[in-house]
Amino acid sequence: MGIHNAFRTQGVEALYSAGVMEIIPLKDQDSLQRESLDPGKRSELLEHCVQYHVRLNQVLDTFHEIPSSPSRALRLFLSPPDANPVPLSIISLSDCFTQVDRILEETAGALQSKSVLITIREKILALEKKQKDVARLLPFDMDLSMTGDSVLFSVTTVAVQKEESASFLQQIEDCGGKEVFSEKKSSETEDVVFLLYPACLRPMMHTLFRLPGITVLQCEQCAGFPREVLISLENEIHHYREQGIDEIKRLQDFRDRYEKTLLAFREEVRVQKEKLDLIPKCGTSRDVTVITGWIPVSEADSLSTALDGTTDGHAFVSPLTEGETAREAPVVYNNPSCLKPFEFLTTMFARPKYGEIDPTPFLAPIFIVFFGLMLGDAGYGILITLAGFLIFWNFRHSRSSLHGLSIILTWCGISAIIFGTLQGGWFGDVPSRFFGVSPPLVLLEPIKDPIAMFQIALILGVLHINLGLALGFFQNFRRKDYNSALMDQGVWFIIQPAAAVLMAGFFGWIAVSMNLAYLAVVGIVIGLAVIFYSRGPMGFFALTGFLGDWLSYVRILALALATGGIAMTVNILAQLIAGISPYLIVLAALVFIVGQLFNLIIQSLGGMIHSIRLQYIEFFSKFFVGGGREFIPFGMERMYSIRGDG
Amino acid sequence: MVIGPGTALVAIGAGLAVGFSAIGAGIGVGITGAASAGVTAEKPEKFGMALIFTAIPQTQAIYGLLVAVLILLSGGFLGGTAGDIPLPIGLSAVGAGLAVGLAGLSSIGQGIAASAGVATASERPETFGKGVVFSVICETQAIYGLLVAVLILVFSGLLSGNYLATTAAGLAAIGCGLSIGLAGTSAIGQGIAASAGIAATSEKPELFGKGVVFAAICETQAIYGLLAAILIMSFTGMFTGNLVATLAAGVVSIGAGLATGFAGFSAIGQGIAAAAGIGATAEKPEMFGKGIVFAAICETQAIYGLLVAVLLMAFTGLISGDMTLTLAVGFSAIAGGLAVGLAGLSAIGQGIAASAGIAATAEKPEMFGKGVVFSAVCETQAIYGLLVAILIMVFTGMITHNFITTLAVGIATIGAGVAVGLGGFSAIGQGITCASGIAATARRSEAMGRSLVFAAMSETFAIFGLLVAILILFGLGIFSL
Repeated sequence: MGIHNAFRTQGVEALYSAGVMEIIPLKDQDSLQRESLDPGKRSELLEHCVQYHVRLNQVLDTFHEIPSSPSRALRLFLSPPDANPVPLSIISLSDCFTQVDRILEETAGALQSKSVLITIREKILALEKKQKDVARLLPFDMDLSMTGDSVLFSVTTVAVQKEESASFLQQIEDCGGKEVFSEKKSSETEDVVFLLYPACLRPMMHTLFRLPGITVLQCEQCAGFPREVLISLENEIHHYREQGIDEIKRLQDFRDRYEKTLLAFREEVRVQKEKLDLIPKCGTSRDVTVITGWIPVSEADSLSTALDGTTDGHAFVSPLTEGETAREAPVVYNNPSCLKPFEFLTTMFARPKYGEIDPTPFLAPIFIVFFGLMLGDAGYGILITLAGFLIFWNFRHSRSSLHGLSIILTWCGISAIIFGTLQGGWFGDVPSRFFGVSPPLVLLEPIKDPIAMFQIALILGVLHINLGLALGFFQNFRRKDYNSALMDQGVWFIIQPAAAVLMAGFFGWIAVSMNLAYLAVVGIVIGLAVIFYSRGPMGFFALTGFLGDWLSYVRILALALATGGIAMTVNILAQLIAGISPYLIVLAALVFIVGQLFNLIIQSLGGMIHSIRLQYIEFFSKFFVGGGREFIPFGMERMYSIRGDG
Repeated sequence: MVIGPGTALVAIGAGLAVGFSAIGAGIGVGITGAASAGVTAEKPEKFGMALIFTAIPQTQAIYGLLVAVLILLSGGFLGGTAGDIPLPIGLSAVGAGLAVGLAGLSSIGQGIAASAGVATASERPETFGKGVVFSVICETQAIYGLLVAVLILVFSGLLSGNYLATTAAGLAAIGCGLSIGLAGTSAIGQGIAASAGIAATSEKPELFGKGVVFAAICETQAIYGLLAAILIMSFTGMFTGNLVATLAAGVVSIGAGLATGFAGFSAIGQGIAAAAGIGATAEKPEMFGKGIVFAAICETQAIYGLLVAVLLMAFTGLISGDMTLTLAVGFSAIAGGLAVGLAGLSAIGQGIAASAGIAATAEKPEMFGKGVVFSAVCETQAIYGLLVAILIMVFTGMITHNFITTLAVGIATIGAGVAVGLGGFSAIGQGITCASGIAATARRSEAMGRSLVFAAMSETFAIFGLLVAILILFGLGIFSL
């Protein structure tokens, strides 16, 4: 796109608020105008923005000095900062700088408090070291003001490692003979040696003090006996700690008053910085600024209209054809809003490549259904739904990842309620064990009929795998890669029915006519031939791999049974305890609550993990490679601020 | 008061429950304790955090103790009223003890993960929660063990005193215990993967999800173990109370349990590969998919184990309820289970090779195919095990229902199963050679041929095992049946 230089600011503003274009910088290899245009001039204001950003960060960093507290964590959870953005009224960039200057002036005390805190911390460290050294001298009942150098003598105390002690004392004697007075006191780990020596021996003694295993104890400037000095040191440390607490309180005051505003202004400065930073990335001529970038096709018209409006027609947007683009396009998901929260599950594996099928619409419902089947407990489902809804309500205005997660959690909970009801799970077997009633609407209890559940799991497996194969087949067909469509996917559509016929005939489930049996054998032979032709001997592993993928779905049964079984175990334990004595009912209730909660957490985790595993390993392997680049548009979603000036 | 063999077995069951889980918890807590001691020496203020991590692998011992107490309580040992308990109930108690006890070995894996948790959380306190989640994942195996133990105790009537078991069902309970208990060792692999996950997420918190997926794939073996246990319970009528009476059916269940149980060890290999996968993904996010492929290769052994377990149950008539099988066939089922189960340990070698494959592929994407080939080499041992298991099934008449009847022949086939199964361990050595071969090939592509020759040398011993197994089967004359 091109914008007349006179309308550049308005154009950039329109582009930024649209937030639909990923800029290709002029110096990038992909840029088509690299050779023909000059880069735009870097604005001086950009430097100011960078400086203000750094200074705001410095003030915000001071709040990290405040120790974290559970009450603040809870407050942040209940009232996320991005759910209540601060309205900012800013007329121009210079007005923004003026306001930031004012707030930086008001919060200068926070920086001061931080530097005071650092000094206090260093002083405390030094005092604690001195405290340790003085404590080592407790066995010497002497006035510590004696230590240090005088005109004629020096008094030094050193700690010596046990194994070095003998050789050190020997060297002292070799060095000074009778001119050195020494006294040794031993503790369990080391020896402490008091040394009195004439000034002339100082250089030689200092050399000895540098030997390994020798530490000179720092107790100069201490007056009095060790016990008294320790008390005064303790008082001094206490005094500094109190001072530190006062400074933390000051910082807390600053945080309470200014944190939200600081975050909002930092965001505003970042927004301004990003806008100014665009120009050096563009190509410019005398009259026109040229911006190249990626844009979703669906947004092209609206951007063009918006630019026309803000620049009074002094801008043009011209799409480039596929041949003119050098690199692969970035990828943006295009799903309805109800599927948006599930996109992160796909991204966790890999973002789809450009032109590849996005598995999210398939992943989302299947993930929810599998989770419900695996958890299979309506009681747990209700708790998960409630938790999910509470988090959703709390973060309904927030852009935090918890917002999306809460939606997934709520759906998973609803699924668990439905499948839990059908499987008869209400905190395990609570209705029948404690109240003697059978839960309603039960279709199939995994613990009573595991084989039926086993069959359901395998049927779901076949359907899921074949959905993957069909998607892969469709994708290869669309790319006109007919060879892969046949070798990788098509062949399984021949082998599966043939194998099913032969298996059903072998086990006598259906009567297979001779002709059908021959047809099935032919199908198998053709299928195997294609597999071994395309993959060589490794084709064997394709067969075991397919079988493995299919059998892998039986985890649905195993996990469903595990939830009910463990819950039943907890119930039995609670019942046993309550049965021993009526006084133990409280303990029984405690075992019930803790056990059920533990089972809920462990099994929900298992349900999530194994549901997603079935997607990543068994399903995705049939059609999805991924590896696409994320689309990062020019523009930023505000979290902490809104522009009150419109 | 009469103490019969059933009561004696109840005591043994309690002993197994608390004993095996003590081994696991002891080692697991020991590993974490060592890390905690190191950390708190430097940072005494981390004592509380380290104590929590060290307590995590303790739960297995608590589960073991719980089941032991339940068994002793139900058997009348605690009230001093131990009476004559029927033999089948005693066997069931042994099954329950094996289930929770052996599954307690999962504590070792949990200890590996928790020690990584201690180390990282001491440096970065914000990783505490994630470290705990990674460590707790390895507890699933122990929970499955506890679940199966309690199900056995409930359905055999030991808890209620309303005894409901046949000797066959008692033996089947032992099969269940072996299946879920031995497969519980999969937590060791999971722990190795989880510790890598903890290390990776401490550097890059966004890797948490992928780390959990890598760790979770090592749980499949435990799920197969649980599944086989459930199927055994279902087919022997434990859920319905319509218990199987044919003794051989119980012995077949033990064979099926050994197949999935020992094959569960393959998760250790998978864990080694998954740990490398997490490391590679941390460096290069696009390695996630390939890492998963390498790790999933090591799952084949577990699938063979599950397959043989299901086939054993199907061919001996356990599924259809056709109980004409002989005790001789029952022992052959144990032979088949041992052949495929023990050979499943070849996955450890495969995991070592796969981890090298992942590292090489991360550096040079074109090494992917060669890495897979080297890893697949170590799978041959598993295929030999599967082959012998199938030969046993075919030639003892399981498929045609023309069952062999000589008990000694059935027992003798166990020799064949052990020969090929233990021979499969040679894959561990082969994996080490293959790992080195992958590194050599990554440097010089022409090194591949020579490396494969070296790798093939370890396989000779697996072929010896296969040869002896076939000679045994041939010598028994079952090929001519």
